[in-house]
Amino acid sequence: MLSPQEQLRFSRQTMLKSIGEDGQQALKNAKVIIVGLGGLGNPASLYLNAAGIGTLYLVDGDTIDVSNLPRQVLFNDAQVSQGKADIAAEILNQQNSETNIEVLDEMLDEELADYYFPLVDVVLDCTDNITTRYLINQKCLEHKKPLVIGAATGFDGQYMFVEPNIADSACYQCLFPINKNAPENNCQTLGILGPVLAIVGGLQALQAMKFLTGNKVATNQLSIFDGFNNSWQQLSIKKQQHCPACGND
Amino acid sequence: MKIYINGDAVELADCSVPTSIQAALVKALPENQRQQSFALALNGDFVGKGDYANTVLKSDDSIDILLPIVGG
Ligand SMILES: [Zn+2]
Repeated sequence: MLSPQEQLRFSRQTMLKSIGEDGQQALKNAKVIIVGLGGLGNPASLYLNAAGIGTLYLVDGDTIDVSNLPRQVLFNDAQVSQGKADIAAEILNQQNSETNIEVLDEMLDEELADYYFPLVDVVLDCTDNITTRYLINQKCLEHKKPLVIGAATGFDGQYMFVEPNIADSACYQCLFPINKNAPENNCQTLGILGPVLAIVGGLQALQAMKFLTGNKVATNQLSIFDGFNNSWQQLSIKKQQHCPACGND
Repeated sequence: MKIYINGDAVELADCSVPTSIQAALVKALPENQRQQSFALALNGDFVGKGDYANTVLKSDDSIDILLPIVGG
């Protein structure tokens, strides 16, 4: 049951037919893990926290650098060299003190994923390197946890939803098979503008909220954002029978 | 036979022999590019890695190679 204060606070969400009070209650009951509190994790965590998600796990072992500030908008000058997950939790707590926030101030590894992924309803991949992206994908498949993937560099973004509980849902490796040479380009090497991350991180938060409130979130689709020409492109993808991560053999 | 890879025309020599996506990639891409993680679309439709060898190309086919964005 929502309290009268919650009914008031979340009234613009509950008035949506596809959310309603049941949806808001589902958000309140939900546990979400956000891996990476950088450019994507900042807006994604802000919106999920504001929307009334009950429990947020924030995973990041990195500290705030002055070059993060133009895009990691939770952070300010005074917090430079402090832990991203810690500071994010502090700011989010000021924004909505009802959220139960758990800080994991280390980089995600297998052990951490094996412990925390079973506790949550959905995983957000807001990381900045492909090794961790493959690990998160693998662990979401193992623990059957829905995965909301976002990525951005320059003016470009990519988004994909993987739902291991749907038999024909393609995974990240069906789309981008592991190969000898991993891409090394990220925001440090290619540059990035903050609003591109806000769009992709916001999209991740939106899809997570839709999923948690029982609304349909499309699988088998890569969404590609071009922020220079203001366009979205959808690529329909297929689960690969021989995928080393999710395939049948 | 001429095909396109990311918009660039690529001439595949012998059109009497069926050419697969795999063969076209070997001919058109340097090895270090082939060894990267990428997704591929043929005329706008996704083709999984397992089907590169058995998907035969025809003239004017267009291959798009899409690299993963990893930043965040
Ligand atoms: Zn797969």
